[in-house]
Amino acid sequence: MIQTILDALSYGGLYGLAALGIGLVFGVMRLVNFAHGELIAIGAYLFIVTIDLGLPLSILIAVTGTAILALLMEFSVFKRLRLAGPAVLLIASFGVSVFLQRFYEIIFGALPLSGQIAPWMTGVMEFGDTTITRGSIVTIILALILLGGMWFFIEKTTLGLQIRAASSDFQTARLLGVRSNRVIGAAFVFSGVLAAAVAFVLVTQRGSVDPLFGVNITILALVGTVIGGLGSLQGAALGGFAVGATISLLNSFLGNYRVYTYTWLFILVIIVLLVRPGGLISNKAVKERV
Amino acid sequence: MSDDLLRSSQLPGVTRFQWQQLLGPIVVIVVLSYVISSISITFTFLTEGTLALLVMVLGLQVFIGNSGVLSFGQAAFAMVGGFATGLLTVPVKIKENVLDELWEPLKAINMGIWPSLVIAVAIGAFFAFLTGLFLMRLSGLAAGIATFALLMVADNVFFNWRLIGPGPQVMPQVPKFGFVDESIILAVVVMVVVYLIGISRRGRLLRATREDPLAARALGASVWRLRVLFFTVSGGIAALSGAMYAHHSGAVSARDFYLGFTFTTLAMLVIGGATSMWGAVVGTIAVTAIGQVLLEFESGVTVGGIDFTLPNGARGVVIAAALVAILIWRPKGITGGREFALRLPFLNRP
Amino acid sequence: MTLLSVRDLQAGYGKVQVLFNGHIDVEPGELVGIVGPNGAGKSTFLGTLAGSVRASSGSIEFDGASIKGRNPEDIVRLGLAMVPEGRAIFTDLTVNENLRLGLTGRREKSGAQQAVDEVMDLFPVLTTHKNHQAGLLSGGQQQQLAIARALVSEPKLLLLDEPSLGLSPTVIQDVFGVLARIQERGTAIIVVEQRAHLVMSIAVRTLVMREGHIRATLSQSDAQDEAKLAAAYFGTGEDRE
Repeated sequence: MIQTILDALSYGGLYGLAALGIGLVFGVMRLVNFAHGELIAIGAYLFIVTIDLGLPLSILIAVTGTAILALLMEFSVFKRLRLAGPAVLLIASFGVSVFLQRFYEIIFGALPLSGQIAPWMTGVMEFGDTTITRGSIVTIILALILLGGMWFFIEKTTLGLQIRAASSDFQTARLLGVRSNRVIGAAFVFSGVLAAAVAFVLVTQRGSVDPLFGVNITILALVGTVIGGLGSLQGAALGGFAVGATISLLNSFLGNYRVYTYTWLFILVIIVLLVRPGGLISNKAVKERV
Repeated sequence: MSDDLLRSSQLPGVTRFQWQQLLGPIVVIVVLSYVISSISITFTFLTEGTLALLVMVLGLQVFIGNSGVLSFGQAAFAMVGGFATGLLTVPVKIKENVLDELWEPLKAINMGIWPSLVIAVAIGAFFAFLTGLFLMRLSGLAAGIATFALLMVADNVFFNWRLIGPGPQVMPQVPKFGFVDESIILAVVVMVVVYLIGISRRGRLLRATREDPLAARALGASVWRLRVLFFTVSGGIAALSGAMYAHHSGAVSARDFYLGFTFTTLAMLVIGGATSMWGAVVGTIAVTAIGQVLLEFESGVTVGGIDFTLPNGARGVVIAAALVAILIWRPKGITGGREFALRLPFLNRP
Repeated sequence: MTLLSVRDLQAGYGKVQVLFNGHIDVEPGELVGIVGPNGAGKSTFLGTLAGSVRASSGSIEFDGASIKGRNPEDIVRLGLAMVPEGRAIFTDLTVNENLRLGLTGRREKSGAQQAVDEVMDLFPVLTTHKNHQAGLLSGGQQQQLAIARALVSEPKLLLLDEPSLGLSPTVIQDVFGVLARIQERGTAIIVVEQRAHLVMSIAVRTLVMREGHIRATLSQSDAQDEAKLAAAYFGTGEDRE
């Protein structure tokens, strides 16, 4: 029972991190970055490939590499599409996503690469007669630290304030002197860091990485972002948490019926977009955002 | 009011019927198809498959090109069409043995390819109509995400529901087209339909709203009706594409019409030029050609005594890069969104 | 030296041109008005100055430098700040946070606290609501916040787009009263208004725009001449309150 709750919390935290990564970029650019999954994937690849150098160095390389890829995406593609409409941005991010997937296939091969990242993440701990997995605890702690850190950054620092302003009204923020490139760059860097964290948890769980590593969680995190409210950072994190926790609970309790989970989730997405584009969780009255 | 809109806005694209715009692409496709398919059996197979893709891209064009609304979900209707025609044409004995969980009436039914195609198109259009009633209330980003959600739902359902299909497995023994002619005829019919719809009054009206979102909002319900209409037509054409693909490969499975299919067909449309029928044709030809050339290089090609072997996946990388490059530098596509025009002095109108 | 000098400015949206042959001169410390009916191109004109609208041709010289085609975030750092139409304050952020954002555009980082204090002096109501969500303020208070936010960057030239929009007559008086005090401190101001009479009595010069063109430039004394005003407006007497 305790494990069920811990699983729900850890999945929730994990998906919350993924959704926040997507939400950050969406806030400042109105771009739904399908390629976020490929950021997660490069993080995982970097972990697998550099783990022999020791975990601390591997973490440094993975986080830096993911952030760099995120910035590359922005500078080479999305920056040039700043003034393009939502349809073009969506197709472009889709194109970048496919490009990277095939690119990984070329560089790393189509077959999964295995590696043991952090053996201490697997395994269980015992307290009296209850057994809980280490992985779920570590994930929860990691999610708390990162989400807390992001909250502090967004709410208490000047750059965070500029990001909030830019997410709310980009044009007016620029009129006040907020530098668009800096704010958008920061959003991408942080989304990269969050992606690397997600990659860490996933790759320690699965023990391997392949070109399509990040696709699944990105699609579900996107659901979370929409349900939580496009354009709201808290909404994204909470929405992601809700989706992750729900999936985990469904896995634990329903077993057989979970095949249609996606159907219900995506019908919910459509309903939210039709009826309450501001999201179910956040309270904003969102009219022109989408 | 819609007449004011037609008159006042500077309408891009075609406004009246011009023979060369319709015949040009048709001649190109017919000639290319016969020439390429006569090279070898492999190329016949390629041509047949490409024609099915062309129909899909045309289906995308008629909706996305005219309304300016992005739909990520048309592959769902291709799924519907592929499954429908499969269920209707696969021999009863096969269905009873391999697809034993099928709904009984579906097991018993059987008909020829052509009646089945008609029904597949009708079912696809019907579902497009139903979903369009809701989805066409959205625009821009919301429409893109909602139609993506539609694709996810369709995939989840078709991949799992054994009452209506083979679930995760393949539906085998779908009767194949005899010759490439059938695909060519179907492709030509769709090209005519898409062209005529594009230059029709309704098509021009819809394009006017694409250019002028404020006017679109002012027109309110009429825009919604137009979009539903075009979405329905697009769905029917997508279903036809799915059905053509089924009769081409001899098998149907849900994952045939999922993200890879969506990416390839969208790339074809964007690279060719989303706002014209000729753009859809050019895009399909261009992407297929690039793909084929790269495929050769992936198996190894010797040029002037030097061996070139591209790694697997190079095809996807190049097409994806081409798509992004077009979006950045030539967003209107290779054709610039214009219809076919042969620049010969005696053919040009003054 | 003339603070702002604009010549032959053309601007529009997509294929539609909205501003034809825009021109204006503003000396340091002057208050200049731009009036005209809806859709006359006044907001577009301001937008090209502030950098949020791209001018297709023409010249904009500010404080000795050409600013045409530059980014808004660079222009504000040169000393040209704009208060957009409809106030455009960040409703989810607090009053204090809105002001802090205004500091981003300062040329010199030092003196920031002093600038904030001065602005709180001009608008005492902001001190009372310092930590409240900006969206909870009344229309008039939000307008004051918007002006204050632009002022903390200590601009040489302040652009105001329809500051009276949606405000009651008393509040309008307050707001325009503050404008006079701002001018006293040496800041030049351009005010765009549909309601001509608000601006013409305080502006040294008022441009009258219609359908994208500047039709006339009226002096302060002309403001009393109803015939001249009507002629410039071409019979839009319904604008009178």
